[in-house]
Amino acid sequence: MTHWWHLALFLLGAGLILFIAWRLFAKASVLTARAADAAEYRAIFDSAVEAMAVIDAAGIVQSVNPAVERTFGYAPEEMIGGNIRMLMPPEIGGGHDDHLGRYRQTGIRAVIGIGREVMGQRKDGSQFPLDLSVAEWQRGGETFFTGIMRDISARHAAETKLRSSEERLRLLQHEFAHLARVNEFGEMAEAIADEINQPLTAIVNYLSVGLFAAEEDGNGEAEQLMQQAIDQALRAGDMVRRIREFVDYGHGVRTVWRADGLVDSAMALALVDARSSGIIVEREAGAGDAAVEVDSAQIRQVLVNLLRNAVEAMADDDSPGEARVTISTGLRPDGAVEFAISDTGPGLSPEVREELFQPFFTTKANGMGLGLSVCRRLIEAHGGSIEADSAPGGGATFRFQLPRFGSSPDLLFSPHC
Amino acid sequence: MADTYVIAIVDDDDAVRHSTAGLLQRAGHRVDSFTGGSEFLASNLPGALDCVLLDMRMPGVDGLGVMRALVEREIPLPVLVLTGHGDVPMAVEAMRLGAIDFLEKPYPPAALFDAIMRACSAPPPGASVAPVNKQAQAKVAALSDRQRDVLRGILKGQPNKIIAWELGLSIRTVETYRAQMLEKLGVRGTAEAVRLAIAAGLGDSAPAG
Repeated sequence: MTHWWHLALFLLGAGLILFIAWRLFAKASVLTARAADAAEYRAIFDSAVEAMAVIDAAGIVQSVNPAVERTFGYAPEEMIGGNIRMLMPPEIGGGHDDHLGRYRQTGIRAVIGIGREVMGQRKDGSQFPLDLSVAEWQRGGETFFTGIMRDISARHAAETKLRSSEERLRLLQHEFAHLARVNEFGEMAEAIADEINQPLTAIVNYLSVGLFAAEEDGNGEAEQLMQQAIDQALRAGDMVRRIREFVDYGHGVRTVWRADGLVDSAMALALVDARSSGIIVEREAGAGDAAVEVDSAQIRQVLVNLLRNAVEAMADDDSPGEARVTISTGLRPDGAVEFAISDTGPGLSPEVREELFQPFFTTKANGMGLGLSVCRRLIEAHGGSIEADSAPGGGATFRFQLPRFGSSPDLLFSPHC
Repeated sequence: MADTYVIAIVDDDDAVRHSTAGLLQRAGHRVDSFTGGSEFLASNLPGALDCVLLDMRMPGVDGLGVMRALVEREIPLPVLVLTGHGDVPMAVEAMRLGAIDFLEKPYPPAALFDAIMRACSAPPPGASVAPVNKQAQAKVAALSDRQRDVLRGILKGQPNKIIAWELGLSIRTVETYRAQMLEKLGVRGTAEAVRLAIAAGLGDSAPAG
């Protein structure tokens, strides 16, 4: 029977050995797997483009990846054991320990699992925007945080650039609106001066007739009063003249511009919304390199006024058919540069055409009636002329001409030298 | 009463037209009134007139349009330009087209009568450039170089800003020269200075000194 014992013991021993071996093997393979996992994470950690740092619950840096050095300029040994605050601008870093403390107490998350845009600070003190996301994890009952930080200054710069180009357009529009108001104010002053001078002239004339009559009647007192009244009316006229001289508009410093360049910049200002409202915009650039010597802001205003009029005329037009505005430039046989803006709106009646460029004449419900009279004055101040045409089938064309720069011999050499 | 003339007044403002006609009739002249440039040009009167008082800014055919038409039709009619606004480039253009004189509204009656007298007794324009006025020339010659430079700028229709820039002076300095220049010429305003300058031949060439 003893060999049964031996067998049993042997089997038990073998089983035990096998069991131990299996346990050992199993443990080893878990360890190997863990080691493999750790190596894999380490590889990800080390090769990530994003800077990663592990901190404990007190904010002390446990480990960092190489991207941290690339991003912030600190070597790993400079950081490990230090407070993560060193990566933050002082005004933010100062409160970081409190944040961590509050989170420990309340569990309210500010960044963890949410991610947000914060400012970082490099070793050299320079600051930059970064995207921060934070993961929380435990090991051995202790809490750790892994922060992943991506430098987004390039994206920011692009956004800023986009914003600044939008800003520039808005600024240009603002400046344009201001200039338009200045010009309209000038036009109003001119028009009011013109309007007031008419009755003043009539007053002086009528009083002069009265003066004659008083002289003939030998009425010295009436004569004197008439003369004083005449003097006062003339004084009013002098004041109006002074106001007008004060306004002194329609003359700015002139520079040389390519005609088509002016048109393009005006289109950018005037037609921002036109295309989206279904209006077809057509551009025929036919002036080549021809240049004009102008106050560009003023000529741009003329173009914008005409373009907006065209767009508004078509917006008010209910008739079917396409809405199209055509902006063309060209050279006339006499050498002048011609600008034309045509629309497919209702066109202009002969009566309207007659009055079109008079101040305070308007067909718009809310118009002041100064836009086109400003246009005319500005164009005439540039030695050009402007006119309106209406095609039989509807639609209006506004055309203006400006002297071509360099076409007149006395412009070939600069008068300013 | 002085000589009697046949005068047309072309002005779109009813009160100006009516009152001017009343004043001129009172002074013994014969007056025909027109409300606009096209009405005046359509009449067969222009040839039979001694002079015309022409408003510049009118709807339809404006003052310059009338003057161009007169030049085109070769009607030697003395024109007195009336304007509600002293638009210098336009004044210069009108003078070049042969306007005898230029009155800014409102004007003293004496200035109107003087101008009518001059216009109606002047040799018909259009034959050639108006003869250079010796008196005006003497006045312009009495100006300093800088004052004359400023006057030349004004004649080109330039505002103080541009004159200052071209002469390399400050705007304030130009304003000072401008005031001195007006004072020295003995004129009331820019328009009169322009008239004097054109009469002196300053616009045609640049007289030395």
